[in-house]
Amino acid sequence: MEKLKILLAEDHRILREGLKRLIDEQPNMEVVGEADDGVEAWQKTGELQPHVVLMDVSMPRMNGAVATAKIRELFPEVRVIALTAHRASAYLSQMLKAGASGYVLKHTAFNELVDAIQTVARGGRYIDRASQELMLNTPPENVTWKGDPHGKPLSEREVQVISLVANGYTNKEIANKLAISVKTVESHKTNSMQKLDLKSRAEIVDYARFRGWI
Amino acid sequence: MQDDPALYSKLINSLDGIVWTADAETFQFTFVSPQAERILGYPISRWLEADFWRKHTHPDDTDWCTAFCVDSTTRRQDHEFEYRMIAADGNVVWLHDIVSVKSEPGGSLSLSGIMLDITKRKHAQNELRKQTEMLQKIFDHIPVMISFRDDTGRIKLVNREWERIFGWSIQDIQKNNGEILQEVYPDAAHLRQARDWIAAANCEWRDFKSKTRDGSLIDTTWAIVRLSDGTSISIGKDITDRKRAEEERKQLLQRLITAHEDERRHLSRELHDNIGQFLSALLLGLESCARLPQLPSPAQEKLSYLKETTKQLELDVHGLALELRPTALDDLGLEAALSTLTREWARRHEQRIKAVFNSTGFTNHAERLSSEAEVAIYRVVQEALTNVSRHSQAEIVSVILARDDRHVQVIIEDDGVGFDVDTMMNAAVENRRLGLTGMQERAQLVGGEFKIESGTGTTIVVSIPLPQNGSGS
Repeated sequence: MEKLKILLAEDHRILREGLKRLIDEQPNMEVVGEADDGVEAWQKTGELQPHVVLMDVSMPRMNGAVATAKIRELFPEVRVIALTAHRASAYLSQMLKAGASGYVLKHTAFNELVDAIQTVARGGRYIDRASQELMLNTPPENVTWKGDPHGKPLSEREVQVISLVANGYTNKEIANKLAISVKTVESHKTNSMQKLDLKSRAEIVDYARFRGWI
Repeated sequence: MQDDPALYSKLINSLDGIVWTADAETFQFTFVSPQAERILGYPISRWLEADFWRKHTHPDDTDWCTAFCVDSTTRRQDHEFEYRMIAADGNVVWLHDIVSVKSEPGGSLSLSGIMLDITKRKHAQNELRKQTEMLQKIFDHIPVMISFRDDTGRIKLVNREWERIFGWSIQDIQKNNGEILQEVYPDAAHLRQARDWIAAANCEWRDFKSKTRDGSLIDTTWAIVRLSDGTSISIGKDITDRKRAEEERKQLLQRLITAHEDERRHLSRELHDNIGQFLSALLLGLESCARLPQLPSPAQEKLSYLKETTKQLELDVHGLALELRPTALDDLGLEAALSTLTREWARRHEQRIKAVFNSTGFTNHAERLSSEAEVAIYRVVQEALTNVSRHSQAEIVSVILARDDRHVQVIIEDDGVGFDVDTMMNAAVENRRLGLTGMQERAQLVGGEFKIESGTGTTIVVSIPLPQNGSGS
């Protein structure tokens, strides 16, 4: 059986060498090339036609996300695994958007990386356990409004108050604008939130966007 | 009336003045009404003594009063005049004396008249004169510009300070029909602003960039008050120096913050990209060792322990790097960084406080804000979230990021217990726990506005104007 050809795109030389040694120890894998930055990564992908590219996210000249997107566009059959020290969900979603099939943190045990390479080479997706946790344990990135509530409809005044809130006005500013007291604004806001089953200002914004008030 | 002596005397007694008659040659009184005693304190009998009047006029007034009366009497002319008399208690009493000169049937002359006590009026007049003088002195010497406008908005008067600073004299302005605004504000938009503001006359201070006669631009600040007759007074100060000092202070502070952030970014990068990577390499090396065949079990145990330690060290290094400066802010921009911050924060407060993030206007990822603005907003949110977790007892906090063509705005709102904003903002430096002034300063340094309201929950709003195309900045 043909060995899995792997390209290592990682600007940190010592780490790259460590990875190369471990990968080459695997019976069914070999490192066919190494790249120092994002530009080299996609160029060598073209030259060497690897099965899988291990892509560092932060690299000089061209970062991992841009290089990944470029590789997926030019060589759609090549799979990319993001290999990173970034535990932030924003990096994860950025790399997945760019077309990476896997996301593995650098301190993850090496056999997980081996699993990842084999999984994506077969056409699957692999996200290591720590990053999966990151996705599961956090609320969704943007709150979404859950649909029309069955409560009472808002009064005209409440609609005014809520849409001003959604448009970024403070209670005091709304009070001035509508010539009513801050207390009244607060109670309109609280009542409308109860009627609509909204828990926070962020949800008000979402609801208002749905209604076309923003 | 003279037919009824009772009515006649009643009338005389009720007048608040001294009715009198006197000899035209000697000026000796032949009659004075009872009020004489009350007003000057001398008994009536004394009034009727020879030369009483001349002896009791104020020494400064005696001569001219005598001369005036002699002259008028000689010309048989009714006359009136104001002068001072010395009362029995030594006080000066001002009198307005109205005198008529009558020819008696025998050809001789007699005088009659009424003296009105005008002391109060005189005092008021004096007071007014003193006040006017005082105001004039202030007007002339105060290092504040003052100008008076009539009800149509034309300048009627400016003080010396105004003339000194702007270089035009009041005569120049009058020659120009009381108009000077179009010289001071050559820009049409500024001119309109100034006109509107003068028309509004709402007493609030407002800063203007004004042009002086020699063409230099100065910073001024003005307040206008409207008087009841429709005229207005403008009060202004040249604040060019203060503005410059403020500007310099702002620049210095921004440089300091930039240097501070650069340093943190540098350290963070160093930890992340260098030490962190070495640790990853070390971990791989240990792993590779652990795979060596026929490893004795004590060595396996040691290696396993070393791996765990290295892993923990690596986590700590990345945690520290994140705290110093999130790489996401530089790599991915504000939206991604805030989204991550909010998620991570929520993760830490899983049991206690929920956090929701909402953003609009960031679809075009290539369009980054200025790094200063991104950092300012990020740090404000960071600080605000710290406050929420420490003090608010909130259940849910919203972080809302919105961007349109003109502004980027972030709102942090919680549903916690709130606090008294004024007390907190004005607290002595050492008691400022919430870092509100720091947040405010960061926002203002990048030209933004910082608003905070607290009642049921706390709302913090930072709004930063975006550079407009064509404005050249």
